[in-house]
Order: sequence, then C-alpha cells, then structure tokens
Amino acid sequence: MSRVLSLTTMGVPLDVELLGDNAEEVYELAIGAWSRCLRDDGTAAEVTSSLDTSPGVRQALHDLSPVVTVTAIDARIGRLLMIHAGAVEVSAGRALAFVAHSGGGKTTLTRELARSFGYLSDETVAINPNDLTIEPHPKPLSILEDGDGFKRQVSPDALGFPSPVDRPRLARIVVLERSDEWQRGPELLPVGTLEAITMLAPQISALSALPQPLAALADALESSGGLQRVKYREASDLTPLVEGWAAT
Amino acid sequence: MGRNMRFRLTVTDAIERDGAVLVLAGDTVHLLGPLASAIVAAHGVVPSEGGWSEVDQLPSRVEEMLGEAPGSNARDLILAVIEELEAAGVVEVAT
Repeated sequence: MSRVLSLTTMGVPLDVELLGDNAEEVYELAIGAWSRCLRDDGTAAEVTSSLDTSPGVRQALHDLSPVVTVTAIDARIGRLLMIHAGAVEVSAGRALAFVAHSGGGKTTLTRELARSFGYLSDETVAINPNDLTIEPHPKPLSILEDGDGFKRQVSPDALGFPSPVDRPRLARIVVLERSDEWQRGPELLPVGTLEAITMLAPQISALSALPQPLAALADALESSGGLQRVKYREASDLTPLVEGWAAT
Repeated sequence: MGRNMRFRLTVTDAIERDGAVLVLAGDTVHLLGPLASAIVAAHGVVPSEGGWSEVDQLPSRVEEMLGEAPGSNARDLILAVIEELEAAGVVEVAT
C-alpha cells in the first residue's frame, strides 16, 4: 500500500511516497496539514523521498515534517542560505526572520505573529543569497495536545494564518532570547557582523556549500540592517515591536 | 617549531571587518583574535590565493600592523598563535 504526497516548498517540487498499512489515512490527513505546500499543477517532482507509516498514523504525520524539510534542504544545498528560523512577512515584500535553537520560541512566536502577518515558516528560512528573496516553507505547526505528549500537525490554513502578499525579501533578522526572568519590555541589542555570523553559523544548513559563504551571509546581514538580539518574556510582548517595524 | 617554517590557510572562506578576521573551516567558523587576525591579514585573507608564507617574515609585518610586541619576542608569540591555528584546522604548517 502506498500513496504519493506531492508538495512544493522552499521552491522545491518534491514527492513523498507514503508506505505501509497506514499510507491512505496518513495521506488524507497530510493533505490537510500541508495545504499550503500541495502541488497539483502537474509539474514533476525534482526529488523524491519516502516515509514508512507502519509505526502509526500520528507518528508518521510527526515524522513527515522533518522528512519534507530535510529533503527540500538537501535539494537546495549550495544554492540557498537556509537558516533554522521562523519568518513572517511584516509588510508587502518585507520579511522578518527570527532565529533560535530548538525549543527557543520560534513556533510560539510564529503562532503569535502569523495571526496578523503573512506566514512564511516556523522552522527554516530559505534565502536566495543573490537578492535576499525568501522561498517560503509554510509547513504545518506542531502543537502539543493537552495530556498527550504528541504534537498535532496543524495547517496554517486551519489556524487562519494569512499568506504572504508578495515574494518577500529579508528585511530584518533577530535572535530570540526569551526568559521567564525578564522583567522589562523587549530590548534590542545590535550585533556586529562577525559576531553575528558566529552566532548564526550553527543554525545554518551546509553553510560551507555556498559560494563565498561568509561574504554571502555578511551581505545578507548588512543588507537587512544587521542582526539584533531581542530579549523578551512573552511572545505577545513582541507584537507591538513588529507592528512598529511594519509601519516604517 | 624551527626556522624556515611555512604556513598557509586551509579554510574555505574568510572575511575581514575592521581589522578582525572570521574564517570558515568545514562548517565551523572561527573568529580570530587580534594577533591571529593580523597573522592571517599579513598572509593574505583570501584563501583561494593561498600560497605559503614564511613565518620568519611575519614578525616585522605584524608589528607594522599592531605595534611592537609587548614583553616576549614577537616570533614566539606568533609561533604560539600559529600552533593554535593549526590545531583549530585554520592553517597548515610545513618545515
């Protein structure tokens, strides 16, 4: 038993062959969760991958996200600057990317900001180093169900997130530093280019595969106003800040 | 480390900003301290132009950039930094 899930994300048309007894059920749920990435225009896949659904429907849906993300990243190694970050379109053609390690608040902030701003991704921001345009990766968000321990894969459409209006360019990039102990409003701290690259490098896939990678990353940072660290307590604290950026 | 020692960059990329040098070795970036930055700058920051540099030529070139070496012999300081850079995979050393 198998079904083929056809998607486009980060500009990569890809197919995932769903294998095993749960393939049909996983497929039906996946086309809902991945609604923003469905490819139904008849174009051929550039790359293919597969996923065994035998461990169970929820496990397979959970595993599908990294399979798609890694497949797309691998297809663009050496061509795109791919940062482990969330991103939203703050105004037509302008995107904000926010970097954090796993568990550092990207998805929570994405859920907050994407209610008002165009959803680009909560996981990977794929940037064309030539013009800083972003190839969206509008994957489902992983939302923890109460008392369950499993994360449900929820489509941005189901969450009512607006789509980007335009193909945005990177306009600002921040590193998230969330803390329950932070008592003040959000605080922004500029970071010099070389220090910024040092901070971001561990969050970038296959940096060395890009042509002149350090120059490309320095150019992306300096063209978007430089990296800033943002200290904050709650994701909702950042909404007025981002609204201010959108208005300028 | 003896006389007639040579070194060259083994990194895949490097950039300089305001006298500081950042290099990429594999997928690891190294932000070099002032003396290491001056050594790499004296050698030539661009890895693709990487021939070998004579270590004995460095002390005078580095002191032109940073001023006279404090206390210890400039060559000893430079040799210590080159040893660290070699351990980090930033340079290759030959004698």
